[in-house]
Amino acid sequence: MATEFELRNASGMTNDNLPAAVSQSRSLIVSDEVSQWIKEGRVYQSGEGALTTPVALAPTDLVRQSPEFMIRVPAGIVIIPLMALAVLEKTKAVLQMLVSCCNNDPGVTNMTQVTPVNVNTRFSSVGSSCTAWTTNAGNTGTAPTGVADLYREYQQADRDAITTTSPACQDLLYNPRTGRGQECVIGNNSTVQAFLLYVLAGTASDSEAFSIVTWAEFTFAEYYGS
Amino acid sequence: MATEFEIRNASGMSGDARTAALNSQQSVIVANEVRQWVKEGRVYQAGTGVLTTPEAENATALTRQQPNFMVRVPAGAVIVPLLGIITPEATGAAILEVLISACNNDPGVANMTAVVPVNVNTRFSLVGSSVLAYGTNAGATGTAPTGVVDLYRVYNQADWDAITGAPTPPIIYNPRFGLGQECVVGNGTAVNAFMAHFNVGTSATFFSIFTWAEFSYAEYYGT
Repeated sequence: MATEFELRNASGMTNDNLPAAVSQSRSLIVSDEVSQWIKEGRVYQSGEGALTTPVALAPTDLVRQSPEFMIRVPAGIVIIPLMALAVLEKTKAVLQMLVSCCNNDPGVTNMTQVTPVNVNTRFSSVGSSCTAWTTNAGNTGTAPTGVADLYREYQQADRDAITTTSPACQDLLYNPRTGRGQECVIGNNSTVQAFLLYVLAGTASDSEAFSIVTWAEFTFAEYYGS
Repeated sequence: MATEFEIRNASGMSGDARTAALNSQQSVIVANEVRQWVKEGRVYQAGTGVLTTPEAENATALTRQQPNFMVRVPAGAVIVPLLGIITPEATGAAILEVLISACNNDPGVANMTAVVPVNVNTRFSLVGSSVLAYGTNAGATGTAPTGVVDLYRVYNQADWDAITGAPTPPIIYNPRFGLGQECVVGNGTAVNAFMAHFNVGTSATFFSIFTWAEFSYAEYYGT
């Protein structure tokens, strides 16, 4: 008699018990958990810059209350950040990138809200449970607390002055699933918490970038089972 | 009939037996163990340097008793180091060196400054680590490390901050992605330690980020 497991889809566990698939050579077929989250419509994308227009990076140095991009995770929601990609268009030296999380609500002053989009086109019209904020123009209002730093880069070079390196410069990339940074979990059942991305280069508003940020989201009960 | 497994959460094995999930192509869905450790609140982060101020590093050459960052694991605790990101800011000269290692004794904490680890799961931000982290080395820690195992090493001739014709990405120890050897640090009866050395010929300043998963000895080895 075949051993059975339970089917999970976008609605959760289905009570539908089925045998696991094996290949013709009887290998057990394993699905990556993040691929399944995408299939279930849990993964959203946001970022900054429009198609042909990067955003100007206002800060000249790192300020905890001035993230370039922020995901504000409401009480009762949990996210796992998956990727943060920053692509510099115009730069001055020095280039810095910092990825972190905090256990409080940093506020949204001096930020502009952007709308996350599901990376599974079937769920494109389903809104995110979080709010995303970009285009920092100053302090957000409250200093982040319980901060954990997850990834950091510091580069002396003026990126757009590098014209002799081939191939082109690698992007600034936080991607813990490929070893670039520490994976984290953000959110609890009673307070707002946040993901923070900082990108800046040299002189105020004289550097420009695009960014792409993705994350998986769950309710607190879905994630922790309580 | 479906096979059941037992759910494990932040409190350990729950006694709650459930079926494992399949996707709709009936593939088994596999959760990454480190992701589960993060979920259970086992993964902590600490490092050197603050937001805009890197740490000036004392050592000009590798000295076993002078790690720039150290996790001191007390008896009865076990850690699995997960990630080290070393980000130089100003490098006074060539040569840049990084060495990641572990030892089976207590190197002491002389000439080091304690830093407070933070949980990378914000739900557990207020839960303290069971180990002690140290940075800001200013000399020998007191006792020579013994039973030393080297896990990762970088030696770079260039004066890092003089490289303006190419990007200078951070130096990353991440054994689950081929960058160094994974290790386990800790036993049931004595202090053991994880050490990171990073220095440059003369004066240099660095930021660093380190993460690890932690367990009680009984949780990890079942005894």
